[in-house]
Amino acid sequence: MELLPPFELLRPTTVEQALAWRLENPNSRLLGGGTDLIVNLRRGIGEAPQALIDLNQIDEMTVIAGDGAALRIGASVKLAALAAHPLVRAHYPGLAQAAASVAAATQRNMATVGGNLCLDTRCIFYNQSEWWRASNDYCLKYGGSKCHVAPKSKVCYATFSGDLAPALLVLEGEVEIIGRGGRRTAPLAELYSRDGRDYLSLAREEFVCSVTARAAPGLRAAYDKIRVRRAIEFPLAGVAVALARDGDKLGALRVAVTGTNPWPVLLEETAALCGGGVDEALLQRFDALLKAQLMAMKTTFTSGHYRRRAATVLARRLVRRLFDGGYMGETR
Amino acid sequence: MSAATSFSVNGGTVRVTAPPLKRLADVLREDLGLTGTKIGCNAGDCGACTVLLDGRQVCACMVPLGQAAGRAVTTVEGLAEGGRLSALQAAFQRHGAAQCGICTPGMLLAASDLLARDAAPDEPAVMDALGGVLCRCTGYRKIVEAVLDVAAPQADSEPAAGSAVGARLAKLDGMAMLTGATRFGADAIPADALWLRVVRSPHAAARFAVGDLAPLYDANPGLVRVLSAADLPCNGFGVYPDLKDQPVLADGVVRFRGEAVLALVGEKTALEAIADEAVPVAYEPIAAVVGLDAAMAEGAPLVQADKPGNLLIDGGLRKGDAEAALGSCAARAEGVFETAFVEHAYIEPEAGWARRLGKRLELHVSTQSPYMDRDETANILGLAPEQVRVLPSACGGGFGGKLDLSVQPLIALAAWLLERPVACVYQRPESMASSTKRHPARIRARFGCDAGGILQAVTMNADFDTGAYASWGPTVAVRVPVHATGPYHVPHVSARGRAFFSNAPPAGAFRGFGVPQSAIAHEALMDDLAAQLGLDRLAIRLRNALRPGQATASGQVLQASVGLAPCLEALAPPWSAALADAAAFNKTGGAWRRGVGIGCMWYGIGNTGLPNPSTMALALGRDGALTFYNGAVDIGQGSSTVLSQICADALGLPLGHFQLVVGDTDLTADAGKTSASRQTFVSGKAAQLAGEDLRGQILRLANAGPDAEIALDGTALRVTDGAARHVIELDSLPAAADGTVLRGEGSFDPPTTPLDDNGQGNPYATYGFAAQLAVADVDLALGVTKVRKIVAAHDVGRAINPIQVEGQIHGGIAQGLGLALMEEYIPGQTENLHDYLIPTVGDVPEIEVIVVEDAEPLGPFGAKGVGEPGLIPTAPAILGAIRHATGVRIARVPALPHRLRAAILAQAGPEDDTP
Ligand SMILES: Cc1cc2nc3c(=O)[nH]c(=O)nc-3n(C[C@H](O)[C@H](O)[C@H](O)COP(=O)(O)OP(=O)(O)OC[C@H]3O[C@@H](n4cnc5c(N)ncnc54)[C@H](O)[C@@H]3O)c2cc1C
Ligand code: FES
Ligand code: FES
Repeated sequence: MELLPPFELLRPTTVEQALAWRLENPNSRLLGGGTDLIVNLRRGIGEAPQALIDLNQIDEMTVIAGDGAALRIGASVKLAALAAHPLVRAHYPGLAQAAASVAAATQRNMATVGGNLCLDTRCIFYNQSEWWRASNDYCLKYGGSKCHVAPKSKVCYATFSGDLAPALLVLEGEVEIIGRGGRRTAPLAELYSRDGRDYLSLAREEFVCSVTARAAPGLRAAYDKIRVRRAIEFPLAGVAVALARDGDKLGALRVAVTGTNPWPVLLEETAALCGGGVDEALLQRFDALLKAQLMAMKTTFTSGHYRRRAATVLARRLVRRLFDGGYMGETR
Repeated sequence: MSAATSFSVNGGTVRVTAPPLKRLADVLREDLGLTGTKIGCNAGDCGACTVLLDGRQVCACMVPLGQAAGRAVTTVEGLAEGGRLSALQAAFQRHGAAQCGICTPGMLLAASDLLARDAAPDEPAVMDALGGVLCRCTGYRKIVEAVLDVAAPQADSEPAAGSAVGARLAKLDGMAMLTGATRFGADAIPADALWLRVVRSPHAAARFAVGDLAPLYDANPGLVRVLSAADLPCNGFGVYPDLKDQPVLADGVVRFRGEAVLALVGEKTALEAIADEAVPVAYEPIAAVVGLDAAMAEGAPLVQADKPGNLLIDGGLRKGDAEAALGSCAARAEGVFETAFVEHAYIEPEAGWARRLGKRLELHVSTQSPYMDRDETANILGLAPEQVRVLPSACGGGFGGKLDLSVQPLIALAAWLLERPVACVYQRPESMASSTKRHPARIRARFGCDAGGILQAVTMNADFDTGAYASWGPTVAVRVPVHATGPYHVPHVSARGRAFFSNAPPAGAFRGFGVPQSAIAHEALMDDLAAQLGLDRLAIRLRNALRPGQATASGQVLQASVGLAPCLEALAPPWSAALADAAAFNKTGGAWRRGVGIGCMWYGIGNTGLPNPSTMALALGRDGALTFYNGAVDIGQGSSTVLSQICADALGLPLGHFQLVVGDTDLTADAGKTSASRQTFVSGKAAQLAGEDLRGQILRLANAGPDAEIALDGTALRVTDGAARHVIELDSLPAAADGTVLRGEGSFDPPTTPLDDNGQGNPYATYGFAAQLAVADVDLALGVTKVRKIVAAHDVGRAINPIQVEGQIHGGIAQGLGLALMEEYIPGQTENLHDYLIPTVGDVPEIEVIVVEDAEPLGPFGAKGVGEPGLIPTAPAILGAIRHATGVRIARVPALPHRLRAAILAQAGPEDDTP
């Protein structure tokens, strides 16, 4: 069976109106491009909401503004528009690469930045039809009591697979959130709760209004993902790297990974790698950091170990290329 | 909750009253009758539903109606301008970019979006723009070519009488596909039809009981009837007359997950509202037999109680003494190769509708085999075959998967009992769970040759997992031993093919009937032998290529049209160039290694050692209408066009006069099924004979000689024989009830003999041959493969229509690439198009087709088939390229990145795991 509950579609034109409707309809869901939400709802995932609140008609949420140093992207900006934006292509190529690597053109014209950042976590036991899930006893993430990926687990390992988050995390991304108290900003990393089930740390009524990115002078950044085919595929692993050179030395390094953990991982302790050159010894310490912080759960049909390893390979390569300057990663 | 929503469609404003969350795709199709927008998955995975929203391509299956309010929607119906095809549509037609046509609307709109922003895009831009629309037929190359060539002028000249064969002719049914007018299985369902929803087993193996249905009826007034096994006069079907082992609705036992248990018939919305758990079926799961090892194990539970050892069939072939000959070979190679279940993944899920007309039943379905559908449905319902009429809709891809029954018996039974039209359209997950698959195989083979590389002996033991029911399992197990040697001359052969039941979806027919699996084995072993002897991989194949006058493994002496050697010779220059290029590339170092591989194949055209007849008819009416009655359904491969070309030239009239009646079981004769690459050869010959028959009648009437020219001018048939001219006034001839005044008929059943106990005989009248080379780059640290180029040399006898030939080869190559690199159907798991991956446009490399025409004397104008040959050598060639690049012989496909990486690692030893 396919579910299509005849709920209401609300289309606010200001964030205030959106918030008011959100407060009035506690059992509502936020609709960006719907490329994740609509598919999931039709599969009977999530309580059927009374209303969908469409965030696409709010002007301030559809704008990209900024310069080579800082960028503000409205949450309802389409990924196609982000990938094609001249400012983004010129100064934030890693972001353009990430946006352009999502799904395919058909989906990118609908998919929004906010929806990509707030993309539901994914798992082979979850993104399935109602019949499929019912016949597999549902799962811990929704409707069931057991995690089929890690049967003894009390937490859900469903994987965060959005392509944009890592590219923004390495650019010191911050989200602007609308809620009861008005607007607040938070580091993008804090948007995620680290639990595959309730994967966002937003309050019930809150929503993301925009996200900002910064490109410090001399920063080089890039995004790459690995997948089996060339399009319409979530990352088996996706890696963003931003680094700066200090002469022959690594001056700054930020690395973020999607597709392995229930949240996009902003690698910790990378500062310790800075201050020296990029040689094999450093890269081995880098591998160790990644291995320690990335998970290897079988939430896709590709083995988790492979995905973690692939992330490591991609990360190494990006660091090398950006450091050597031989990659289209220069932001200025 | 419905509200009125206004938006514009193709330039005009519409107002639709429907729930705001209704999918735009459904609104277009159901509320606005614009069925050109297709639905392949309803989940954003396939792009069949692509439309333009304010000029940008989007999946209409994910757009809620409310979001379209006030915006402009463009569908395929809006592309033609003033009744003329747009430049893009014309380019699609010119290039043969539509095969089955189900993806065509989405492709056209995706390309329109791009072209509106970039009038002269380059290839990467086209690939990016089309990346979200899946096509299973064309291999995408002709679509990309068409978009790149959109600016070229339209030149549509029709070939003159006698010159249709060999012409690069656009498809006769192509126009309708480009405007959205083609009606597929789900497109012409009457508004008053009841719908049918199948309740399927969630268990791979279980006993079940159906509980009290009264509460279900009470709670759902729109539910009209629940059908169960007890309602079926004869509850068994299967493609073999003596093997009707698959129930239409399971009777107390289910043998695979997704098997049909009950059918709910009623109003569409009522059916959709019924939760699965509201249907009272109590299952008692039993241990499932999963995989070949379990099926073959001593004392394994029996999938079908009366099939001991879970064995469906044990077929074999013996020629000479392979064991002894192997013993004295200078070089020997052996290996075990495994393949997975592969899903057909046609973009059109199973669909159709049925109605009862008095004592007769009409079935409108998407099918590859209308006559088999008719006979099977009649048998199940206890009717005479003549009581059933099958009117095939356009078929949105088949590849073997629409040879078996799906919706047919269910909608037929419901329509018969309820005396109302009844429709059923499968959802993607149910299509994937319940339809047939390619057989998983485990093939153990040994090849031996002398010191000069000349093959002496081959043994092959091929075991197939045939799933829960027989379907085409026997065909696969019998065909593979015949093809075990590959297209080579081998004096000593011992080959065995067995198929075992398991609790999985039935494995059936899929492009190549097992031969693609065995080709992976024989080509890997040929590479082994070449390596052992230090021979070039192409050279060893050429040395062993079957030649006219030589006997095959089944002892059949091939006299003509044995074109492997010319294929290999044609491939030699690109082969040397590719090897040199790879060597140069690999010198540069880096993460990627380039490899070149080669694959050869042969393929017997038509059924194996069984009768294979086809009959075609061509009628002239008293009104001058020339009607070609063609029972061969065109599933996208272009048979309607190709058979018409043949028939036209045999008759000697231009193709423009032809009107087609295709596949209607009341009006056309049985042409057999569209499978086994047989329609061009078998039905083509029948079409030729039909054309010649009619021509002979005309010439006799005119008393003209064999070289006379015929022209049709209204109702006047003018015959010119040198200086003599004669006019036959058609409206003055005596006419049959339907107005026919002259009727030509042709039948052809290719000469074959059954295989004897040793598998010896002439199972096919002719064979296709091919050799392909693949260039692929492998990222050693990631195990990722990128195929860069394929060169495909195919002996097709005669290319009746080179565009269609290339299209078949391209499409086969894309499926072969999927088989090699990404496609793995895991029963109960990958039941959707985002977990089951098929190639997208960017995955299919540049393809160069070399057509070799080694004429087949039996075939129409020398032609034989090409439907399956395109696919068979591709996976071996790609795997050969991977091996050349990495040194790893892949023993299990698909070579997914994690698998290839593990194999590279295993070869290098544990020390070498640095990225
Ligand atoms: C075939 C297919 C392939 C895909 N491939 C990829 C891929 O390769 N990479 C990838 O990253 N994604 C992929 N996706 C997923 C999805 O298309 C994208 O992630 C997309 O960016 C989601 O955006 P959306 O606007 O459509 O989200 P929606 O579906 O509208 O929303 C997603 C979730 O975010 C919430 N949400 C939306 N906006 C906000 C907001 N402003 N504040 C708070 N919550 C919000 C929604 O309530 C919902 O829970 C794919 C999807 C499909 C169907
Ligand atoms: S039907 Fe919409 S993407 Fe498949
Ligand atoms: S022509 Fe593309 S799916 Fe058939």
